[in-house]
Amino acid sequence: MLPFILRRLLVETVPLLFFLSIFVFVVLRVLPGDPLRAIIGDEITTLPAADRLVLMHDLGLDKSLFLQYVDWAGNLLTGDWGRSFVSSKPVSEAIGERVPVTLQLSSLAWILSVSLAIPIGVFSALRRNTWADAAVNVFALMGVATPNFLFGMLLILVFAVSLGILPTNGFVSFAEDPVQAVRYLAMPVLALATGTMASLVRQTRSAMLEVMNEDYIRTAHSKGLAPRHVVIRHALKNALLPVVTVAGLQVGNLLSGTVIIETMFSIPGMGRLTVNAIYGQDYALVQILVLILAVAHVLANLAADVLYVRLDPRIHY
Amino acid sequence: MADNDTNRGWNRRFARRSMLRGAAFASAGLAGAALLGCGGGKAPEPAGNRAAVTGATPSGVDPALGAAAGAGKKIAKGRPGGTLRMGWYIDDVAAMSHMANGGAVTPQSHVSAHSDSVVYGSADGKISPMLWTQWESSDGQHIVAKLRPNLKFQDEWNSPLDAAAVKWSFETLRDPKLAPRFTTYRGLYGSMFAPGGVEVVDPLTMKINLRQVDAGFISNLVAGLPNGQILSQKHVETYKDKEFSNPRFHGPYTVENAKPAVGFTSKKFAGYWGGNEGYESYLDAIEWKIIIQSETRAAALRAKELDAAFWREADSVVGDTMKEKGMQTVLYDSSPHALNLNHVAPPFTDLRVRQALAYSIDRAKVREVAYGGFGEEMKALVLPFSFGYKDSDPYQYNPAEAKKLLAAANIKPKVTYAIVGAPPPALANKWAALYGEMMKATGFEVEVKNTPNIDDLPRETPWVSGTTIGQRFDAYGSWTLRATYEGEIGQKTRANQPGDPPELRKIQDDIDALVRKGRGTLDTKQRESIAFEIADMYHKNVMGNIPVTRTRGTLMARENVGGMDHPDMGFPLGSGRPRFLWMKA
Repeated sequence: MLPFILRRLLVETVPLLFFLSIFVFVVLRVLPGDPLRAIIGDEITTLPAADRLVLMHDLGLDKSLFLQYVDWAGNLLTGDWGRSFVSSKPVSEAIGERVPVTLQLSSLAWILSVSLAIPIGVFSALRRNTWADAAVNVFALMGVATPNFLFGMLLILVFAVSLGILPTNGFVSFAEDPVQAVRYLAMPVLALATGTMASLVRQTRSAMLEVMNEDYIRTAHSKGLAPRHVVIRHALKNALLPVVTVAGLQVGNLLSGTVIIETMFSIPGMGRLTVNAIYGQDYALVQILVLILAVAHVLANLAADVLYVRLDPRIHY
Repeated sequence: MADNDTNRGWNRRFARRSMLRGAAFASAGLAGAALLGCGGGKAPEPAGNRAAVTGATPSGVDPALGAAAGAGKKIAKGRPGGTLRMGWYIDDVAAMSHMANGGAVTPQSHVSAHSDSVVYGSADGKISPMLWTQWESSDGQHIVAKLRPNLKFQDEWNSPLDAAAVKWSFETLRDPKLAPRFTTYRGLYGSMFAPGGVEVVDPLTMKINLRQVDAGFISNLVAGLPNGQILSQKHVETYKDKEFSNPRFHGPYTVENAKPAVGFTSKKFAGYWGGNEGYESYLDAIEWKIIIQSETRAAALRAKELDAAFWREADSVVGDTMKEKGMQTVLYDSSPHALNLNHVAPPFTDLRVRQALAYSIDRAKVREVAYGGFGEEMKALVLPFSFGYKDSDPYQYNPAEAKKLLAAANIKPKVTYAIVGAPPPALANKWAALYGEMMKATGFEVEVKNTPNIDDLPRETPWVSGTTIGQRFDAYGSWTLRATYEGEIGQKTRANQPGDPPELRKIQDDIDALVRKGRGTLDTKQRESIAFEIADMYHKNVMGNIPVTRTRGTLMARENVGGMDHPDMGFPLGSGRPRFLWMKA
């Protein structure tokens, strides 16, 4: 397993990040717009040429694209992520204060969606064509079809405005105050998790239905095994393979979803930082943020691959 | 913001600065007079929070705390103490007054809580003393100004805010390496100072030497120049990079606990104006909470998590929320909204096409559809309270006339509607749909295109773009900002480049000549008539913009907030000034 992980990281991930970094670096600079305008605003047009040169030099923008990349990549490898063009803050600091926030939000949403979706999907499959199955299907369809911002707004109106039991917005870290953290994160996590949960419910249900029709399940039943044993040990374990794949891919969706949820619930996470950095043409920040998101995707998929081995002994890497 | 305020029509900062300069412009009418003779004069006497005459202004006629009392308006008496929880709408560095770049400080409300202007501009357009108690100039180029005594910075040494500090701030902070914070000095106002332009006469007196006679200079100091930018040299040099996140200004409140994307707290500064009783604001603290989603901000207000909240532009959420029982609302003039056009690109080089476009615009519809009925229709590019205001736009909605003009010109104009900004302003898509529909109805062929900045489009593109503006109303009103106006929107549109139609160059040259004349004219009446003349030339010739509406910024507060009736809470373009607010219980 270790060689597989190392191979994935070295042979696939490193080149991927390398090419991605070049791609993002070039695209940001090729796109229309002037980072100095982002820094200075429209005063840029009245900025004396000499001052402009000073600023360009200060930001390293007076060098060729190649040299700019070499400088940036070199600094990145030595741990210097540069400074935000717009706020002048070190990029590591700007991102560092946002990462834990988004991690808490997205990981809780992921855990919630997976931990609820699988039992609900199994339940629904086992009660196929009953009213319970129909209810689950309706819920799942609604969950998939409802945009998370709409669901979030409904939650705010019900639980914060009407019932007054949860805060409308804001963030408290678990390290700071676990009870308040739960109160503040309850609605955003639910809003973020619902879509993912709904997809996973549907995936789990269909995978379970397929597996439950397999010969080995009939065999297990005919051997007189307890139904619970058959479902958990024989059916679910096999049905989980496609579910794990989807759950791994959903990490990316959750991270994307944080942009909207963080905006709606005023959560100071990476999603909002990314949007502001892109709009502000803050090259230094965007480059690192994209790489971090890419690493998150890669790691999530790697984790899914590793989990395959645990779930299916036939799989070897 | 952003934010409904993420207004990057010309990009977000444009709009913010627009507001800022608008605030300066609001009082431009008195600038000439102030410069000619002597502004300020008698320093205000502290009247204390008990001053019955002043109501919400703790210091009587103290202009630092509002001109309402001077106007004789009876307003409710305030009550000291308490914390106000305020919702705010921008989510970038400009949301933090200590991080906002010099020109991008839309949020006059929180900037004015932390630092003072050298002069104050009130809602009635009067300029009053603030940090400067008096100023005089015999020639409009050299100004001698006197600072209020005992001014202190909020730094740990309580450094004096004296003439030397002002000089250091004005001159040192022009260093481009200090971007993004102090760009205003370099770009706009920086150009007004000659090197060594500020002389220290004595600890309280300074002499400012402008590059040229500038009749509107004082008006531009109302809000544009000094906010957040007169800093303690000792603090800046001691904290270096850290100063940026640990700012110390000199206003009635100190910035505490600033967290990007979350907010900050404004805590009362005991040493404000030397700690003299009566100058301080009522509130002990203001907690600023950044909630960029309009619906969430309204929900927080309704759920009593906030006491008050700002909106950059009134929208349907405002419309719904203001109907809530006990909700108090101040709708204040925000920025003018205009339809810009690249008048130097064919077919707009033909005056008839430009006029046809002007006749195609149904302002009432824009007001209703884009602004939910909250905006006001505009016939000028400056707000009605502003210096040089005149309903001089001769084009009222008249599609038949538009068609006639196009037929006479024998042109079926193909134009590009540009959605400008990254991100585009909140209402950009609505504007695009509306204007597109109106233009098509009179015979224009319209292609919609998105662009981060208007300058990114080729100069020959016949673009049209709806945007909330600022600089444009400075164009014929505020002489000192004229250069910036030309600099900013002139890149692609100004008719002074080779190949431009000579008739457009002539008009533009004539306008330029009038601007120069106006800037050097210290007589207010004469300046006003020049402003009218310029306005007429702009509008008759449709020189780059068509006024459409003015938007309405909004402050809403629950019933536990007092001071909402203070006239300066609805200060035009200034987003209100929370120092006038107080808690009822």
